[in-house]
Amino acid sequence: MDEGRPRARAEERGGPGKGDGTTIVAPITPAGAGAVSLLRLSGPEAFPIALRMTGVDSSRVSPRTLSRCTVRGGKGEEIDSALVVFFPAPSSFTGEDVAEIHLHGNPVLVERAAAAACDLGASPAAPGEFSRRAFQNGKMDLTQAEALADLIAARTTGAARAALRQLKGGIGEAISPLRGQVVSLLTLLEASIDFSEDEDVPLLSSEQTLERVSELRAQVGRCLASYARGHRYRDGATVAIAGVANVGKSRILNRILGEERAIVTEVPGTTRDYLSGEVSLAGIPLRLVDTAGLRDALDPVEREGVRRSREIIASADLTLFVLDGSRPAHGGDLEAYREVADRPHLVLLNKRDLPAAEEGGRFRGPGRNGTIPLSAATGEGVGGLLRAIARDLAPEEDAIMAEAPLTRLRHVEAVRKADVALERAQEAVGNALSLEFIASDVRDAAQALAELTGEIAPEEVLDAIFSAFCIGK
Amino acid sequence: MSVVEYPKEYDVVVVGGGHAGCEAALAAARMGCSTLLLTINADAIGLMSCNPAIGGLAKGHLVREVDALGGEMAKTIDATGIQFRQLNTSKGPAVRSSRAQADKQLYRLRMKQVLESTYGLDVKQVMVDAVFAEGGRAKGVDTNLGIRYRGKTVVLCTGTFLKGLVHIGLVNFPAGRAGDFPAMKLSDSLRELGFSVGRLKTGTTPRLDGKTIDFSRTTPQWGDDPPLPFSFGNKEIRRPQVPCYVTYTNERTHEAIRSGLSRSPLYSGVIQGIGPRYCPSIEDKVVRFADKERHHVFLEPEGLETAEYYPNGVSTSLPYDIQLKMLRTIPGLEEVEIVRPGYAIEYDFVDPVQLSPSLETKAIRNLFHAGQINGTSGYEEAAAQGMVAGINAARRVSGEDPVVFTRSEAYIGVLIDDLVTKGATEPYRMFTSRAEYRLLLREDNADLRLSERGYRVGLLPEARYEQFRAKQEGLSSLLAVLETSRVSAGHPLARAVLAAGGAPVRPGISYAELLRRPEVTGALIVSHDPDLARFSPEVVSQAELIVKFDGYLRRQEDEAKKLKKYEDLKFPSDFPFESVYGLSTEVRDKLVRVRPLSIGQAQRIPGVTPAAVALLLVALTKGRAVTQTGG
Repeated sequence: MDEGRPRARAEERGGPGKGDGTTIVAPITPAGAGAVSLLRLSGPEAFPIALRMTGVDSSRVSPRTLSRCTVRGGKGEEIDSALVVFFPAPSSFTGEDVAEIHLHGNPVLVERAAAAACDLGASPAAPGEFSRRAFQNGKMDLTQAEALADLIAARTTGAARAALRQLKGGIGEAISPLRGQVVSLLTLLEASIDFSEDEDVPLLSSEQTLERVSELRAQVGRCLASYARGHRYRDGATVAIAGVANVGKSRILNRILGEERAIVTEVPGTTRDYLSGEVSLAGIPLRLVDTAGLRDALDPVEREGVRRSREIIASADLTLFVLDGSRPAHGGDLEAYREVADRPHLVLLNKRDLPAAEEGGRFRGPGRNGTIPLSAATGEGVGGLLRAIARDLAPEEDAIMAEAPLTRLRHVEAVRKADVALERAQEAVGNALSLEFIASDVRDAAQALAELTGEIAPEEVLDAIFSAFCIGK
Repeated sequence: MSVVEYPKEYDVVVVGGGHAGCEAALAAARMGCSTLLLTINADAIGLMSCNPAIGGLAKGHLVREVDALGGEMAKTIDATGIQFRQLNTSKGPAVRSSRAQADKQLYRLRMKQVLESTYGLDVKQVMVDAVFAEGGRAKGVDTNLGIRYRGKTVVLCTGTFLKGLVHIGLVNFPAGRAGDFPAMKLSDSLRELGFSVGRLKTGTTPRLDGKTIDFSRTTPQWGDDPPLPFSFGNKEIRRPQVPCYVTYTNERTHEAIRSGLSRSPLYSGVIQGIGPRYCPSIEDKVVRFADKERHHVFLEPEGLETAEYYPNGVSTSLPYDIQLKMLRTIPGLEEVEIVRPGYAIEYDFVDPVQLSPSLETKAIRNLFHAGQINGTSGYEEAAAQGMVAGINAARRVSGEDPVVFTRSEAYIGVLIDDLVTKGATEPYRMFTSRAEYRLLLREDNADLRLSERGYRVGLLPEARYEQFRAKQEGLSSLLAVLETSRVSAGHPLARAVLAAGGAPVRPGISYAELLRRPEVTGALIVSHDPDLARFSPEVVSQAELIVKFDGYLRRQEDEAKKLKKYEDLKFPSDFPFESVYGLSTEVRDKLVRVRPLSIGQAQRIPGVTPAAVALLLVALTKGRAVTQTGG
């Protein structure tokens, strides 16, 4: 194998400012619309991870040359067909081994591919981390480095409030009450370790500890759930429109888009492939996808369309399942509904301008969030539909998170790490481990959240102890 | 005054004979340096100025670490302790700490004996007025008798003696400690050398006459039986053990205290120095926690041959009459007589950000500081620093690199890194929660962590080293046996586990797997396999810990490794923190003040933001690039 050919196992490389041992991953193109999205991996494991994700044969690739590949997730499921390129260290952006995967420009795909890389051992890159590694490894020249310094300096020398906002960021502010509670539990645990001689320090019983840890986990869980919604503000949400042929799916799409997009005819199966449009609703960029009618088709093209429809429904944030309300539902409707029932969805009773003949009584799958009568032809009920969609994708209880929801994989990884640590703490209490192990887990949780809010210092816990309890003999 | 030079030049001159000074002088002398220890009062060497006890939470760890390196504190308390206790035993293996009451007089006499019998170590009683330095290097000290003692290195362990000012109510007088001269000139000499000198405060309790205490109104508290020694070299404690006694303050006590607040030097603003929050005076506790009905008081004997008692919990600087009035409201103390009043003391200290992690000052080469001069409190914190300063002074003499401990290696490392990185704003005391790798830093493995270093630097004696090696080898072979030995069907161990109420044992699992069960102990396994009888209980419990808590220990080890890379990114000694582009004034001032040695240390300076660290990385890389093109 010649100098730079990607190999399955990264080798140690010498030289100044060699990487710090971790491999990081992040999209480097803006989220959202665009033909292509670029996912970059950098670090000693960048090649092995990229090779595994793409199934590319390392002996057939040359450095800095694009290769076609199929990107797969952890369970071998296909994510996208893509291009991959390898930049061996030191001739890369960061000076480390870098692999870049060119995906189709769909935020969902990019996120799944990034998650797959994380499953293989990469960690999400912090903002500016590629650049940081680049200048750490001497890949940026003085001018570039100074330009970056300018950028950062502008943040630190600004007004105090602005600086704080920059420093902590909205996300930090949103997380800090949660982290505050983790630290307050830690304070109690540490107080009863370091000041057990002081009778003033209350001892938490294991039941109380368990209760507090469980409560914290529930909150962390809600935070994580907000990611699903939070990332919608940044990357948008996909709403699929599904149902058998000729129930008016395309007309509903057009109603929502407010313009004629789909080819509307009365012939079933007119929408062979999916059509889509974008609209902004309650601050969320909505990508509406009108799927082909869900039915067994004989035409191979149409069959392909049906297959893709299923995929879209499976990955959509919300599906609008459309029934023709002017006729009783038939077996085909019920069969099509099976694809949708477990996914988050709304049942739409269309054609309400005609006499009603179907109330959707048999369409009450576990994922149903409501049934909405409307008429795409007259526009009646469409406002209610829009409100229902908004409510579903951005519920009001998320108002706080809407300020700064968990929008990035890095945020989620940090919160997840906290969750894992708290889960360990739960187990530790359950297994009657001594206090210091529980404290160690809770500290890990606080530390994980600190990645979003700033550093935790032992002084912080000690200060809290000194101000709360009468310490000292 | 003309200066007379003492005819002999020493390798190491140690100023101060407290817990820091003793360890510093012993370390240097044992490493082969001709060493001089200067003290204001040769009868007060190794004296416990405050409570008559060694160890305690996190402090016990420091004592064991000092012992693992070859220091003297643990051996001295083992020889003179009159009550030993293991604290926090239920809180977990890493936060378990040893504490012992000392016979205060025996302790100091034993320490003095060790100093006197150490080859190459001279002890002299004299007051030091100044550090003698030329060209940025310390070369000795000048004394109040006009004698200059020349030393290749100087270690200052001045305790509370620098411009010490004792307060009892509104009465105050200069003293190094009640009953001793203060050093009135030395801190001025440090100012002249360019050091920034600040003021701290600490305090102590009155000492009580035991024959005026009604112990029947208190609750005795005995130590552990058998008492466990501090030193890895000791197997048992032979001295007779005595109890302490517990009693409580009450509302009348608090009323008496409040009646004297107007004459409290603390509340009337006479005291300028900053005191420790974790060791508040009784008046501070009563004021800050006004709704608390009582505070406990431990009556600790000061020794076997004295009637004096130390009432732990009522440190005070209230006027003498109030001290008496307040004490006499406490059950058991109704007719108590005070032998020595409690007092507060203010003293000068030198902000430790002016030190390198070797404890050498940055401004003056060959000058080292240890103990309260660095803003710490506690005998154990002092001893740990004294040890490090002594080692590094000796290594300077022999031209070797300093010994520095990391935060994941020892509490000593945490202590010194905190001091040199964060400075001291109040007297610094060790807590286990300061150690982020707490699970790794246990009392039980202090030898495994440090004895190799202690031996290599020439401190730990051969016999102790061999004992440590035997433990180390026993441990690794036991760990191997636990992984490879399997429980066969019908193995007595399987029956024993069942008998102990455990779930049935699947034949073929390893001893280690079995040991991970909460109900299975190392002792149980060892007692059912005659091949394991050769392992000492110490090794067995060590192995048990490592196997049982493998996941936790490994996570902390990984974390420590991850952070090490930042420690390895070193700033050159002339790195221009003043001119790093883009830093806020606040951050720049902090960096200039501390002058961190590595990115890792910079990150730990309070107030240095991640953005600032990024800028430092840029600057560090720029520096490299310039060096590269230039060279």
